[in-house]
Amino acid sequence: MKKLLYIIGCLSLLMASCDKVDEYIVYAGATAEWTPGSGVANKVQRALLEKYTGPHCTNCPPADEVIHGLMDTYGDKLVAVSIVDSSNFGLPYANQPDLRTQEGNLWSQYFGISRYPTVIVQRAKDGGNWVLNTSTDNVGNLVAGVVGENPRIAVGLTPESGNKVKVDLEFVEKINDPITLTLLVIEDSIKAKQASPTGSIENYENNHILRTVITDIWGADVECTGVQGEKLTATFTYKPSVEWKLENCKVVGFVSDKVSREVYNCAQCAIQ
Amino acid sequence: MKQMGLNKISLLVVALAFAGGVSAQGIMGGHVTGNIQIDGQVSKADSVIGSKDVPEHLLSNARADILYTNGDFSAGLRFEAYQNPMLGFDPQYKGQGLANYFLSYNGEKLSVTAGNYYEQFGSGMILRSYEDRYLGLDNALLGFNVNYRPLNGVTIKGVIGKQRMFWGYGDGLVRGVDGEVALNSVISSWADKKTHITLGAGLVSRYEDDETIMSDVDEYKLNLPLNVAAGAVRMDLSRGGWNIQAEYAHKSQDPNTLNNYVYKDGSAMMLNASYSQRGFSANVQAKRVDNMAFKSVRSQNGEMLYINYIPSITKQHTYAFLSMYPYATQTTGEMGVQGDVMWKLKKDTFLGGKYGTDLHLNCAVITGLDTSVVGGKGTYGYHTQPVGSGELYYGDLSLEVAKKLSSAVKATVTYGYQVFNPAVEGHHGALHHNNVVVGDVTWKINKKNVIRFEAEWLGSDSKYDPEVDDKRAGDWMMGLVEYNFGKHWFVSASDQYAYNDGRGNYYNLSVGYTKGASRLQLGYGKQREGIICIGGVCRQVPASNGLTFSLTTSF
Repeated sequence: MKKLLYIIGCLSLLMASCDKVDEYIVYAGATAEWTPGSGVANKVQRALLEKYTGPHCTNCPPADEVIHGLMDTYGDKLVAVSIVDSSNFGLPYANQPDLRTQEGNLWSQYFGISRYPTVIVQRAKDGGNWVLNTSTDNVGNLVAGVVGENPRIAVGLTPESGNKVKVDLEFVEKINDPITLTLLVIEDSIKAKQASPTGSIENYENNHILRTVITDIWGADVECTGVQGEKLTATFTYKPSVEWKLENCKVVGFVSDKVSREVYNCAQCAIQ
Repeated sequence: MKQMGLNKISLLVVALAFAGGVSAQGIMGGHVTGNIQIDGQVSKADSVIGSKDVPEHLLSNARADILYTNGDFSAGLRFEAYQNPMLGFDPQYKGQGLANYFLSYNGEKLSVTAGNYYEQFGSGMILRSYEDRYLGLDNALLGFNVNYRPLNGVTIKGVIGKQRMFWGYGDGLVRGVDGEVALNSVISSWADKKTHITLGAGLVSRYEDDETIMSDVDEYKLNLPLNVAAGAVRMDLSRGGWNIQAEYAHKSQDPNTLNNYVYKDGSAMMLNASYSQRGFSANVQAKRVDNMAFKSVRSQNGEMLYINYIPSITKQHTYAFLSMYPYATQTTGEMGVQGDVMWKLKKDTFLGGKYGTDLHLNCAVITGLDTSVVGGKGTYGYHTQPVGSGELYYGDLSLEVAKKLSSAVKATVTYGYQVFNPAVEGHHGALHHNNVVVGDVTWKINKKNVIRFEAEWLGSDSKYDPEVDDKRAGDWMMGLVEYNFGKHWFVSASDQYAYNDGRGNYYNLSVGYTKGASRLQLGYGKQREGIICIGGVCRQVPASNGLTFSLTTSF
């Protein structure tokens, strides 16, 4: 009977899980007005590669090597973002920078990240499920597949003074479904202690680490008709943090389907 | 919302179950039972009652439930077809297909169901998955349901799944566990006690992905709790003719469209005390509900995707005018009491007469809560006084006297007084005060011929207002004659007429034939726009003018 009560108690605690919210409202992210634009000069299809990582992720440095190799191969056509969530793998070592973000944590929960590293390319789905790559074996093929396609929408980012970034969109094909634009800030060259297959690495260089999401994490609505040839522009303002080294920061923007959340295209630019 | 799909494995197993040869015991040693219902409707425009032309001319709701049972195993499916949905049913039902399928094992100690299932914890205040075809409501869970009975008197239930929403499923994931212990069965020394006590407790949690819902403050959105939990404890105590049931439920922060996205916790309390003895029974119920609308999708309006059910404590009237203004449970906040007394006056007494007399007195009062608002969307919402009441929502007093006048004639007279607040249906306006009188006489001419007469009157202080367009307003009278003959047939004719301050004359003719488990009914006439409620859950019924038919059979 005691064993039974114990099981019931455990099940009850599991089922009783609820989230208590102290802050009822939070900043929704930057929004901007979309107006007719002049188009995107470089209509290129890029791949968005998101890697869920953390200081205690032993296999993350080898994954980084693969990703850096892909970046060498594809150059501007590959946009990488490294995300540290609040799992045990994301905990910072003592006196080391905390690379975790609330936005990364929400994405991690949403995509169901449970193994590290996990790589998602273009937020693609297969059979209704997210394609979560816990090995980098197939990542190169996925990236090649994306960048080999013709873009349905072209994305261009231009930094502007006053902590602003100008976004240009051009519909290469007609898109009927509602779309959103997500803007975020990444930072390169963050030195921190890192686990690896050969032991801990002091001052490991973390690149393209997610620092914040400028818009809402699921993006700002793009007010458009979606007809072929439509050109739109909007300027967003971000709030820099004193913890960032601005010279190492970039803004990443990607356009995704509002419902499925799969990514159409992306771009990045340095922070001015 | 995910589209509904039939699991291939379950399809295969069900197909195998039905593919065997038919033997004297049924199919493959098992038994097949089922029922079929086909309803149809033809309606045309009538400017007086507000009915509109139906482009399809014919509307139909149909369903077939098939259950195969073989020892401890059972499998079932339900095919539904709404081609197109009848008036008053949500157009999102349009279509046809397998709406429900399951495989089930029912052992001595363990029952497991995979597929669609219905389940309830306690009175349903934290979980009730059920369907009501007349309300067009089906919130079946798709997933797994486990019932474990480790000891006599101990039941543990577990559920996990997603809720049906028309032809798909809501995105919210529902998990729950419930335990119930009958102490007189578990404690051997209590086995012969006259007092019986059953205790129970349950917990339900809903997970739903994050989404962007803007608050009333510019540039700020709601910080949504992804997991919302509700728990309840309950007790059932009985001794002799006495019975007391009590249940308390609590829900964590659940900002949703029904509570205008406020963060106040929810709670509900239900108390039921009754006493019965031969010829007499009395029952008192009380409840208080505060912010207990619990759905598996936070943005969902309407009656679909409710995880829980708040029991109604108002009387479910059967006579037309007494049920013209039914009360819809206000899951966001209400409190009330109900008293119900049934008394059978003995025969051969002054009041009882030769055959005895049945008295039934019922009274219910429902009010809102005494609240003080602290903010709107994205705030705590409001505070409530624990015992204070708000505006009156509904009052109902009815006395029914039923008496057998002779061996062949039985008469029932009912008086009802109702106060109705249009706010419970989301409208503005003054309270309606209604007096209703019903006379009902049934004459059993012989074994094959029974005739019933019914006359009703409703006097109301409401007047028809074209802006509100409530077709129930005004004073009404009604007559009905129903004749059952030849064991199988019945015909009926009725008319409801708004003779003062109202609109409409609603006549109806119907004929039906019943044989065994099959019944066919045809009707022609006018249906008044209004609301039907079953157990406090309601559906809007639009006006219609035309033919209806219904065929039901079971096997």
